[in-house]
Amino acid sequence: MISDGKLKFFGGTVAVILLLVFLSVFFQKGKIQSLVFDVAYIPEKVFFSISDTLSSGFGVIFSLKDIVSENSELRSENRDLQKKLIEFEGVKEQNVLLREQLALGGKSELDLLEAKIVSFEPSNLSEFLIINKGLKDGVEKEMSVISSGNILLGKIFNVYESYSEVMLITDKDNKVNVKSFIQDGENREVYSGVLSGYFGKSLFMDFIEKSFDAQKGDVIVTSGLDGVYPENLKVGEVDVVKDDDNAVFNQAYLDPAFLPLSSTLVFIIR
Amino acid sequence: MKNIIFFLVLVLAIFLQVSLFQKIGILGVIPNLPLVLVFLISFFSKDYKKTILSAFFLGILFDIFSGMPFGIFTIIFVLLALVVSVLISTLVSHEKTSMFFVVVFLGTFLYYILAFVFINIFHLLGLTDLSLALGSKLFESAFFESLFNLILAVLLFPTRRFI
Repeated sequence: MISDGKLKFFGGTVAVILLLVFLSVFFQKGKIQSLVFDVAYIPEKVFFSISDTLSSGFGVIFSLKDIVSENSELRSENRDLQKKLIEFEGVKEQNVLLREQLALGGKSELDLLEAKIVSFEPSNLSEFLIINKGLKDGVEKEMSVISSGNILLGKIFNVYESYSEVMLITDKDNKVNVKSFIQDGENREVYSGVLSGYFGKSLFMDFIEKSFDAQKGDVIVTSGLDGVYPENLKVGEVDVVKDDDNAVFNQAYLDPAFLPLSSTLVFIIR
Repeated sequence: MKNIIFFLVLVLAIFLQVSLFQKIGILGVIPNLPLVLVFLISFFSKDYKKTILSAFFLGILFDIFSGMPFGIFTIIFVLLALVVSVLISTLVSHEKTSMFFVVVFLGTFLYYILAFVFINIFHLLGLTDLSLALGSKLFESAFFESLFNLILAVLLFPTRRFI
C-alpha cells in the first residue's frame, strides 16, 4: 500500500509537472542553456576527443583486413582522379576565358562562419546539434549549416545568445528540396525530389518522377528550390530505390554524406 | 558528500549521452543512459524523494541538451520514476531483481508512448513545430533502443548497491 507521505509526494510531483508545463509555455531556455553549455564545454571537448580516439582505434582494429584491398582501390582511383584533374584544369581555364569573353561574373563564394559542435541530441526522437555560435555572431534562424566539402548538415532551428540549435537533415521534420543527375551519353537529365529524415539517421527521398531511372549510387545535392538551402550542397547517395507499381512517384533511401561525423567543426552559411 | 557525488555521476551520464554515446549507436539508434539510470534508481532506491529528484534533475539536463520543447523529458522522466516507484511499492519487490530488466525493456516502450503523447500535445498547443507520427519507424526506433537499454542495464546492474 502507498503511505500518506508517498501520496503527498505524488501530489507534489503532479504539481511540479503542472509547473513544468507552465514553464515550457512561458520560459525561455536560452540563458540557462547558455550557462550549462559554458560549463559543459570543456568536459564535452574531453569526451569528444575520447570518443574520436576510441572510434578511430576500434575502426582500425576492425578494418585491418580491408585496408590492403582498399589501398589498391584508392591507388587506382587516385590515378583516375589525377587524369581527371588535368582535364579539369583545361576546362577551368577555358571557362575563365569564356566568362571574360561574355562579361560574366565568377561563381560567388559562400560566406561561411566557423562553429564547433557542443553536443548532439541525447534522444533518438529527433536529430539536433548544438553549436557554439549564436545571436552575437550574427547567426539567424534558417541559415544552412555544412561540414567541410560542402556537405549539408541542416539548418539553424533556434538561436540563443552564444549558441544555436541545428536541425539536421536526418530529422523527420526537416524537408529539403533535392536533385540528382542522370548522364546518358551527351544528355544530362535532372531529377528532383523532397528529402526528409528517417529514423536511424538515414534519409528518405520522395516524389521522384517515375520517368527517371534513379539508381543506387546517384549523388544527391540540394536544388535550392526550397529557398532555405543554397544549390549544390552534397546531401548523400542513393542506397535503395523503391519502385512501387501502384505508387505515383518513386522513393529512395539514401546514405547521408555527413555520417559518421569525423570532426566537430562545422560552417554556417551567412 | 555522497549525494554530491551521486548528482555528479548523473551530470557525467548526460555528458556521455551527448558525446561518447553518439559514436556507439547501431543502425543510427543510440542507447539512453539517463533513462536507464532513472529506471535503476527508481527500482533499487528506497529513498522515494531521491528517486523523484534524480529523475527531475536528469530530465532538466536532458531537456537543456535536446532540441525538443523544454520540459518534455523532465515530465516523462518524472512520470516514469513515479510509475516504477508505484510498481515497486505495490506489485514487484526490490528483491526480485530480474524484474528490473523487464522494467527497462517495457519502460523504454512506455517512454516512447509518453514522448509521442506529450510532443503531439505540445504541437497541438502550438508550442512546437515538431511532431511524432505513430508508425513502423517509431516502433523500430523504440525496439532497438529497448534492446540497447537492456544491454546497458545489464552492464549497470552491479552499480545498484551504490544507490
